[in-house]
Amino acid sequence: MTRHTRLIMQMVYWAFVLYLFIPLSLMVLMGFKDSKFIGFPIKSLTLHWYKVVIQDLELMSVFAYSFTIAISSTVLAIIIGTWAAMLLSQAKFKGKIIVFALITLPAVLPGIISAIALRIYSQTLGIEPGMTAVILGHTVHNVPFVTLVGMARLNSQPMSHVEAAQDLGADNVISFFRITLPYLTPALVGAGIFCMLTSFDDFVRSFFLGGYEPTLPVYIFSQLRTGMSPEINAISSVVLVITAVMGLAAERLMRRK
Amino acid sequence: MKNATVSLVDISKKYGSFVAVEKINLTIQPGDFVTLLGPSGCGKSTTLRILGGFETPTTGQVFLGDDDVTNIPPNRRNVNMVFQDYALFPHMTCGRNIAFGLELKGKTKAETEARVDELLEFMQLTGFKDRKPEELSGGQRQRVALARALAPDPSVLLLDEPLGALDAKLRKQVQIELKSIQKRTGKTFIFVTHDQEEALTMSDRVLVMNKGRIEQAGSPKDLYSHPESRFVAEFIGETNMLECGVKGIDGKQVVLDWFGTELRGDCRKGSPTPGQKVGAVIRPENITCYSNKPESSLAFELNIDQRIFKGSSTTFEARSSKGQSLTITLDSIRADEIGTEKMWVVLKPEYLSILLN
Repeated sequence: MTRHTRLIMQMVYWAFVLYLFIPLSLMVLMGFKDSKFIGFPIKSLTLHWYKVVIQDLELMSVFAYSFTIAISSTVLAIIIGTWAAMLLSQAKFKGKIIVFALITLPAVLPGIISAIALRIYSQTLGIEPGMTAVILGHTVHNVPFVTLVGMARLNSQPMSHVEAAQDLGADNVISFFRITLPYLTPALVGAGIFCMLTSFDDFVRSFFLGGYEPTLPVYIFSQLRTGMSPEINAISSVVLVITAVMGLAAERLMRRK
Repeated sequence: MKNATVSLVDISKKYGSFVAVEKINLTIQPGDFVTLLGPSGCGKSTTLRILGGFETPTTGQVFLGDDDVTNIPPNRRNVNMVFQDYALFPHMTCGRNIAFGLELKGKTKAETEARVDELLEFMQLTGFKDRKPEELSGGQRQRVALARALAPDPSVLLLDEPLGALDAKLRKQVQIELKSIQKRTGKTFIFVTHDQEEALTMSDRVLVMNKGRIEQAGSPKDLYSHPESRFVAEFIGETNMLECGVKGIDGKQVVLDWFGTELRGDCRKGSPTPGQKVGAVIRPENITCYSNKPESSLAFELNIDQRIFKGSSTTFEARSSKGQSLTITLDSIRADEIGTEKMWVVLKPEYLSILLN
């Protein structure tokens, strides 16, 4: 690479970084603005909007609601996804490829399509729009991710570990819980954090499957319709920090050998 | 647990049309160090895995003492295995690894701890109890794997090329260690390797395998001195393989023609007939050398091509008048008496084995 092309590459890179971070920085900055209107010029900075956020009981209950949904759908997705990963990477049966395709399909379906499908289906099942429907919707969306990460991890587990456990007297259940599950744990924790973030962030499924109680993205959306205030920026900044930390942690855990 | 006789009766294992193991019959006496030796793909590992219960034979039966264990899964078989990659559980400490089999056998906590400590001391691993496997050296990991397999007191210990991952120097040391551990525990060890030197160093009995069959079984000395097939002769140690024709039988000795030179040797297996093409085998160190023509009807002259000094021994690459090459090894002190261009040799009949196949 000549000096010339390297310089151009570096410029492209920094342009991309700016493109990515200017909107985020503006959003965070506006959350500290001492005025009701979002936009320049900024006369002085304040923590007022963060106080408003903390004291907003409705907002806190929305947070809790979103959080409950994220945790529940993640736990379900991990249980089902791990089971599917074990089945797909170890058992031999006819139509395995079809099972694999069906389990991973929700990951590639457009959100709006699966949201409408789930809405219709849950009503035929008699599940009213609300928390249960949202949790199940998020679970379906998250299972493929856990399955794929779990399968990748299982592939790297030496066959001899399980054989050694059996050799020393473990049956299938004991060798799963004492040998395979601990080996899978870092990958599952990573996948779990990722699932929580996806669930927390999801708008389309939550909007279609939710009842009167909104999840956080749905709540923010409804607030936007009645007019923007820096309170939205403060909420968004808090979410940004939490998700960034969790996302980075998940990425690290999944890469660990 | 008392040692038990291990028997394999008519064991075969097929994968589709591929025959991994064919009609193996084998009895292993309690307390023996037995090695299955052969090149990769000869069926030695499959045989070991059948003993461990990881493979079910297509035909035949496996006996442990008087019990038929052919269809007993590994977790209910009183046999333990040391794996090639050791298969130590990475999330457990050494102590927990060794305790694993004991816990599953329902031993009390106190019994388990006592046994773990005893084994750690036995393997000179005291102080490593709370370390994770990744913090240990290759040799230490190997000892932990051995301790873990010995902990439940199996009647037979299976070892699947456990020295493969060690470097050459450590390997030699561990070979001696392993042999002494086997002696001190008095356990039956069944060891799999492709390394002939390893097999000769440690075993009471070696089974040479080729293409799913046992080619020859015997003590290391027996196999080395009296190979019964070309495969065994060439697989174990260095050898001279002379292509001869049978001239006749003289009492117990077979008279051979090796490109015009008369040789005599023993045939321990089969009966050669005059005119038959056979292989005659002699080890490089068993060839008797002279600087001048000796008093023997079997003596003949060789031209020396190369002389390779190897410290305590010297190897000669030499050629007969008909251009047939021989490798000869001598003590370096004896080698000094030999000239630079020519030497006389005698292939003594007791060192020459005749192979029909």
